[in-house]
Amino acid sequence: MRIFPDDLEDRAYNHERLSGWRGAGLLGHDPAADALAGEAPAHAAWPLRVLLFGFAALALGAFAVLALKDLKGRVDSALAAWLLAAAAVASAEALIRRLKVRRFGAEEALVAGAVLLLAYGAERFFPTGSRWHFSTAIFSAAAALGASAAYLRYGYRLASFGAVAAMGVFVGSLEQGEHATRLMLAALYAGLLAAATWWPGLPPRERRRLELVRFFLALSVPLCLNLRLDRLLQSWSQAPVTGAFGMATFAAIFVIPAIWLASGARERSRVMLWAGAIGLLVAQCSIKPYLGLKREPWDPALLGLELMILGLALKRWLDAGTGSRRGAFSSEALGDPGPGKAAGLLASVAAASPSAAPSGPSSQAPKGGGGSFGGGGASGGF
Amino acid sequence: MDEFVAALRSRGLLEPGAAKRVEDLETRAHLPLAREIHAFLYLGAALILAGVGAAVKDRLDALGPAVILAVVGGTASACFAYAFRTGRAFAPERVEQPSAAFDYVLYLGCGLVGIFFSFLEWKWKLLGPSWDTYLFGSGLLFAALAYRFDNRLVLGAGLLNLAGWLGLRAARFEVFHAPSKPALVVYGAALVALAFATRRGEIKRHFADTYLTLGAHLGLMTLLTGATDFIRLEFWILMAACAALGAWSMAARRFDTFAAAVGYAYVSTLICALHAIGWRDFDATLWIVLLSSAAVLAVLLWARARFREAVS
Repeated sequence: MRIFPDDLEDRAYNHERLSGWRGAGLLGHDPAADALAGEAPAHAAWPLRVLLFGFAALALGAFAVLALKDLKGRVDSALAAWLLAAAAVASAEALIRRLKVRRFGAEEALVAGAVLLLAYGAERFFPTGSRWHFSTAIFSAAAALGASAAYLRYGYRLASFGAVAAMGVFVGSLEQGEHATRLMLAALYAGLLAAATWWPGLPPRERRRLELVRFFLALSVPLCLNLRLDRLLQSWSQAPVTGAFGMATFAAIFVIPAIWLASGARERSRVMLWAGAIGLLVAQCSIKPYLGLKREPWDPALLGLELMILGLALKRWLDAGTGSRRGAFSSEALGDPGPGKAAGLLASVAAASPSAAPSGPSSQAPKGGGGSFGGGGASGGF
Repeated sequence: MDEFVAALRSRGLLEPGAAKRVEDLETRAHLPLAREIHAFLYLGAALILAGVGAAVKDRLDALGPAVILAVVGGTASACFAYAFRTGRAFAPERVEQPSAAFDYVLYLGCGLVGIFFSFLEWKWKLLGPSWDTYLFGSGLLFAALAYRFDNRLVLGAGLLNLAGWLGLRAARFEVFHAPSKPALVVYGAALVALAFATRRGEIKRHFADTYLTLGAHLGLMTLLTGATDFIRLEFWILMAACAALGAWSMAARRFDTFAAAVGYAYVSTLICALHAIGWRDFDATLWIVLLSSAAVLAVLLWARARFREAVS
């Protein structure tokens, strides 16, 4: 099923590991190590991969719109879309076989485009009348099937994300009411998480590839149950959540991330630790919206203080263990754990606020970038 | 032991100690959490600045200026006192920080200085029309602190403050039609030059990436805002700059800057082409997008051998 033979996947996996060990300072740049790993399959560095993906997606998108925009009949549109999807897949396969590329962006965009065209064609093919949710159900079901097939064939992480997202949209399109939909989504993502974790016979490289998907699945479960997720950033008081279901979700958004955290600590899984920590952070931010309490402007500062204290306490606790370790965990830095090359980007993100480009002193009431002084920029007005 | 790790070890490519550490990492017998700790600290510092800024803005009347200045100024002073008391001596090369929190406490102090001066000026207008001097002063202060304490985050903040000051100051002279743009382009070019000088020099060579990233994006982005037509000078300067950056990136195997050069050049050319046809012909727009994307794609795929070693 997989287009790439096991041998090539193994070589790619070993080269990825070599790169990681070098980044962590555990291995020198001896070319003999690369030679031992075998010839590296051609895949582009991530900036080029993004670029190639973007240009291929643009070209395919423009071509698809040109081909489909004047077709009036649904069946005609469907057949044309499927034909384009088949051509895109054939082009991707030709690129992979002829140019011997493995992760080069362009062929990934062709596969992603093919999945979308397949779903579009399916939606056009079946008459749905005025029932938009039926259209959505057909589109998302076809997209989920197409993306799953793409993952099995090419092993692209993006395809697994696409499949997960399309399955979620499919569940949402079933229109079972808000509570049932939330429960079904949580159950779906929990089930997929279990499958990605315990699927028998997966080689280590495949498990590692699925780690990021596991993170998003684990994070999605409490997020789907959070009834105040859309109001996290609103400062005014909300009506409190009441009723058995509301209280149960309130408990769940704390309990589930705590379970992920415990499971991450037991499995020594970084992604589950991240999913648990971020889930608990979101849960903490949801307390006031859930209880209908007004937010104070200094709430972010208190949360920030808590995070800094937590980070320092964690480091101190780890360092105080035997050999500066607590079980498998340590605060040891491998490579550069700080902002490093991203320093300029992080500073820019923090500074990209109205306070960084002030309009000069004003006699009016203070306005603009409240809560976003992060870049450390002085300004003449808030 | 993992087969590949064992092979590396048996051929002497991995020291026994390193092999054990690699094996521990692979089997998760060891899970270092330094990145997680740094993420907590960075997010914490950013949230504190956001919260203090919001509190100063929203609760001005309730808190009073004396309390605000005392709390913000006192906390900033405490951050700087901590940095000067515990920071290691200046050295031209990379300096290991005394603690994991050090970088972020210094960054927090700099952010609080920004809030302090913002409030001071808003409340009393001490510098009046020359209020942007705060940007200049804080930019220089942050850059100096960045060198003193080897902090790239603070360097980035300082360079951005200086860019803000330069843009505002140039706008007052009204020599050109949009005077802040040439100033920012020159500033971006100066940062890129500084990146090359830093790379070749002896002082804080690891700062070169911060200069290069900020300088290249600032200069190209500023040019892009003016490059809306093929007859405009900005378009041709942008093309020349992208070509130079792309050629250097290929030679230096810097694929992030190469991607930026291609991206800016493409977007600018597309905007100018669409401007030339009047934006209204949908079919022509689609054909331009299709053909231009395919052309760039073909060139990149043709040159793939050049990128073959660019393993991510």
